[in-house]
Amino acid sequence: MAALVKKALFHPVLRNNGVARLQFVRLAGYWNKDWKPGPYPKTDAERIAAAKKYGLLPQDYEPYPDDGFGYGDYPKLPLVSADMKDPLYNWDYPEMKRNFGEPLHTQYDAYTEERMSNARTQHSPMYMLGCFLGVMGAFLAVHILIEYNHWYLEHPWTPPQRPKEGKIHYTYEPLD
Amino acid sequence: MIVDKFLYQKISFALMNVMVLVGVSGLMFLSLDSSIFIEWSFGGGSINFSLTLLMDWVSCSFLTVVLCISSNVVWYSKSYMGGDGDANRFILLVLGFVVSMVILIISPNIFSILLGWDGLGLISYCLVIYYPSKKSNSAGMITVLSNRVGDVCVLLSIAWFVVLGDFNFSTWSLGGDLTSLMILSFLVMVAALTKSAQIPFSAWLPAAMAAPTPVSALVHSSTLVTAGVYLLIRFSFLLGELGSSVLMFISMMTMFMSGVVAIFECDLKKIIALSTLSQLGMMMFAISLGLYQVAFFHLLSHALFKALLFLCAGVLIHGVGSTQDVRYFGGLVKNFPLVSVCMNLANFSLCGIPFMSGFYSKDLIVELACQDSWGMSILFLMFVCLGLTVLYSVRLSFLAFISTPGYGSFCSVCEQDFTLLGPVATLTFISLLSGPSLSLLSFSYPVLIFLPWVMKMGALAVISASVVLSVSVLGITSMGLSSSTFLSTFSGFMWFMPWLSGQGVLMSSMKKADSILKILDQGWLEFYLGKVTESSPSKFNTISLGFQRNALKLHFSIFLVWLLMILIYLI
Repeated sequence: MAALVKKALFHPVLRNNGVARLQFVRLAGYWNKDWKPGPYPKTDAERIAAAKKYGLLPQDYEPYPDDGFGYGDYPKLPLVSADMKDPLYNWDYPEMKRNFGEPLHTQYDAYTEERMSNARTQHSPMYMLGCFLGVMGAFLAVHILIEYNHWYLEHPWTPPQRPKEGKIHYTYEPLD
Repeated sequence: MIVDKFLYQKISFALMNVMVLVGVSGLMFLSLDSSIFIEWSFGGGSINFSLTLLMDWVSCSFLTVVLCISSNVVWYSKSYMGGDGDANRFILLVLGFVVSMVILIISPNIFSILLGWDGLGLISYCLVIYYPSKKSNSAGMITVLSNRVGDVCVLLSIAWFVVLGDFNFSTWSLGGDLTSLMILSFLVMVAALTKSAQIPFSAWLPAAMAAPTPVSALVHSSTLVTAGVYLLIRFSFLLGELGSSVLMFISMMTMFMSGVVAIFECDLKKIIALSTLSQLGMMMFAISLGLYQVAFFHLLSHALFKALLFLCAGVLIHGVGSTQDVRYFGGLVKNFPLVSVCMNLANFSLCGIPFMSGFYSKDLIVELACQDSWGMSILFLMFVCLGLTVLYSVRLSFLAFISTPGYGSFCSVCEQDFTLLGPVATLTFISLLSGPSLSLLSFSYPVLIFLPWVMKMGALAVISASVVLSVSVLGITSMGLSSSTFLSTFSGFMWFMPWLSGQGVLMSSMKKADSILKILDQGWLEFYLGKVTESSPSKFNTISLGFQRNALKLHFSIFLVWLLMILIYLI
């Protein structure tokens, strides 16, 4: 899948036409060409310059791998969803829980407070799915087993004597 | 701010008048054993539209209950929402919801049912997100998206109804093949399961408690969630043997799950929401047994005492300073004597205590289920669910009214607002009378059930044993269960359904969507639709500007080309 994606993205048509790759900020409704990331930093000097540009320490700066997805020199920041950030801290932008000059994650808009969360859950997703399906499956298995073996609670009962045209359930004769 | 300070009273009074009118009409239809189709035809010639309404005992009785609850909720909202700045928006949304519900109830065909069905889903979303908070937003999203699954199923079923030859459920004719009927049955059932919050679509109902309490009383207890049950009752002819078996299993599991989870829940409104879920499971169970009339009877009686329960919860929440955690309550019987009586009466109905309104419908379902031969798992689960209902109801009453007063109780105000207490008392009175009166009206002949005495007394024995068990366990701790066991974790997270149906579904598709975004939206589409639409007009512009340069050679050569074409044509 990654190889196919890389081949698709490295197609000469796309590469030669200078398509602005990082379009995520368009979702915020405003784009400035000066915000376009630079090319992938190859030398140490370029890395230091890129770290300074994004307000990061050189030892904290790590770019996305140059695998064709077009991130350029944009830093690969740790993904922390908005609900995991401190609600009581005095953020410059409290609705985004972000300070001025802080670089945004490339997928920040998918991890806002009312959207997805990558918070660590008490149990892993597979454990949760397994528990739910396990319990439902256990009940279903018991139900099917009982239905298959016809383990019914048989007790004597009369069919309901519902009124019907022409049907007589009782006749009233005197006792002899 | 409310523009007209009598607006709420006027609306409540109007709803009550319509309720009386509809109720009398319903009694008339019942006594005459008749129904009325009202059809309007629009247009003419080749374009012809018709709008059909159905008025019969079922629709009139349901309308009466809905309008009664709406009238009391609007009256209640005058005080509960009176201090809110958006009270006008609130009342408009509530009225819109009532109109959608009316359209759903009086519609005899799937087209007009869709109008009401979609309206219910969308307006309930607007009501859930009424308070501007992130939590309400998230709750609204899960509510509307879960309901949207059902909306899509109803839309698809409209196409499949063409196979039957008729969109009306009252003039149906099963003319289609078996596959089409199975698909139709599946679609209608899924739509009903989503609206009535059955497994696996149960996560939205407790989340929707982020809405204001009057909304919960009207929408999430008695109208919106019962729309699914009503749809299945009207389209009951579609349920075959397989559909009934699947519905039976799902409804049983929903009842069991909601009963267990309610024992571990600490939010007052969520406990009541889970009890609604349990009773909806009971209604679906009755439908799966073929007891459509009994299911409808339980729907009506449940709507009344559940709305009452929510209104009482609202008074308590308001009184203790807007906290919903029952662990902050305790000893409220001294401060809220009337509300505690009404809430306990509603709880008795919920548990099926003899001769309360819930007893008439719930006990009837249990006895009719015992009358036929079913698998032991079904009967066992049914009695367990009866016991669980009693357990969480007694726990709720104990924690709210009897236990040691908590922080909220010391800060609480006394019940003194007649605008809140009036609807509570009215609904209590109506709820108490609804059981015996509806049982007389719903069944045209007495239902005599002959069972062995063990099975006949089974429901009462389970209720009594559950009361004793819950009191003895509560006497030790608030529930006597450790929070670190698998059961408490599994149940506390509602069997992990909120995470699985929310983040679980999102996470699995997020990565694929991200790849598609990068390749298509930010890649090829950006080239073909973005760059090309930017560069193509400029290229054409350059060419057309070239033609406008007034170059003599260009004009003369165009003239020569035209002359040649004319000569060729003439030749």
